[in-house]
Amino acid sequence: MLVVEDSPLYSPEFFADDDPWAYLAALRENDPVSVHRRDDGYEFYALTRYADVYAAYVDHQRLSSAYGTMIDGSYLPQKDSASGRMLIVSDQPEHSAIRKPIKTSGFSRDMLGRVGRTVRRNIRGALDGLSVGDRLDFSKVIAPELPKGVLEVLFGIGAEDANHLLEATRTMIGYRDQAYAGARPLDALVDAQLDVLEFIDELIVKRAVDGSAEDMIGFLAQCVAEGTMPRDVAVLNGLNVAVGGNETTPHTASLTVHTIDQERDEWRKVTSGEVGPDVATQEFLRWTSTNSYVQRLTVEDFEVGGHTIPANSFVALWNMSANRDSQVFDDPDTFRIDRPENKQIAFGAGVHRCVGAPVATLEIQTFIEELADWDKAFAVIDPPRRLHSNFMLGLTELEVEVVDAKELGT
Amino acid sequence: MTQISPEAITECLSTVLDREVDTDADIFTAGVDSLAVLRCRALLKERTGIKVPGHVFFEGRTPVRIAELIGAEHAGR
Repeated sequence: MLVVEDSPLYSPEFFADDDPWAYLAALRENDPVSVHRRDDGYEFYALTRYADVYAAYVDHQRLSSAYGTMIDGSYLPQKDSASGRMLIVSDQPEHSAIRKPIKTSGFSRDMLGRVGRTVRRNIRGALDGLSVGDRLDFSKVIAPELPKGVLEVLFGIGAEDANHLLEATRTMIGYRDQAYAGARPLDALVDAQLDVLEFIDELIVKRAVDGSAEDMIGFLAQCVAEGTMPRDVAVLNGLNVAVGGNETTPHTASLTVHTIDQERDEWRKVTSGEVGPDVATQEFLRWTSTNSYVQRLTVEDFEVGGHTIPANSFVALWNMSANRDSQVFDDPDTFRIDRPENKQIAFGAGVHRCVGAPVATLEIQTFIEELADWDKAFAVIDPPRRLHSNFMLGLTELEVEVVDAKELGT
Repeated sequence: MTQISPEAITECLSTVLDREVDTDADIFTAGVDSLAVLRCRALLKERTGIKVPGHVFFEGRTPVRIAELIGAEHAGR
């Protein structure tokens, strides 16, 4: 098995300035299961083929989430301090016990409808405020409108509080990137995380008293008030949902605008009505693969792709690589907006598949619908700046000019 | 008035963790996590009026050192 010392897969700079897609494609072709080491002794096994990534996702018995889903989430095989209490780092049976109240209160059909209406209103409002000739950084001005609407509905808060939460979670996840965290990144991470926890804690205390359970936080607060859920569990999962929702879809939206700029002919199929926005959304999700990987820890030996990964090993499931696997996708390195039977795995698979996937998909589809109906369009005027992160593929700067849609023939 | 004693910190931590903590013990080895820091910080604010930034706990690690850092942060302002 290939062993890579000082692997570039650890390097945020490699993801920001180099070509991780090509690196992963070579692994997928020649060494689909490989070991990646860093000079401080950390190591993980990288899975790059769709079939192997999928097999690892569904084998949640042997591949634990409790040790952190990010490389460095916990150093050495040590459980995350929130394991068993926060959805993303919990194994069964706690995982299901936490997921159920979140799913039914935050991601029910009724909630989806309310979220969709709020997100559409926000996006439309933002687009309507723009005039031909305007220049702006899409990633900062428009992209946050997507999760803002979700927060407003799920947390029952106003736009100003939602913006505050967005800023804090952005610092948490992007703390290695100077664009978000400034000169003392670890301090910024810790302070931002405490700010989010404090905000959610105060919200839960307030909502436990007012008694309404018509949104996710209200429901969790009632569980706390009735004694069916510890307050810490409610707070940690509020954090989980806020981070999971805030730090993904804005990046997907920015990457979508950049992709449209590069793929005008494909995009025209949506504006002309030839391809439905639902079908297009799936290809944007595959193409952007915002969450590049997740990490697991083997609690038993795990056979995959003809190899045996020993117990107590970190394993990284590379979504972005699986989404370009030619065994599953014809012509995988081509953006095909009408790709049929798109089995993109951007949200993972199995019991841990992103609980917010329906909302995230709805946000992106709503965004695409609004863009397609808009009489203007975004033209990218500078090369975008990519986020310094190996975990989230995103843009921290996307300079665009608003142009007349007819000018671009869309 | 901008000082917090190590004992004030251990009292808050003991309330949060429901057990005694030494002034020179590493609080994270003693089982403190982000939520415990959050609760401890809220108690300190209630009792002293000072809101301690989270990173001071993680940088200081022991109540003695955390108290020193709080003093330094305020002296520097």
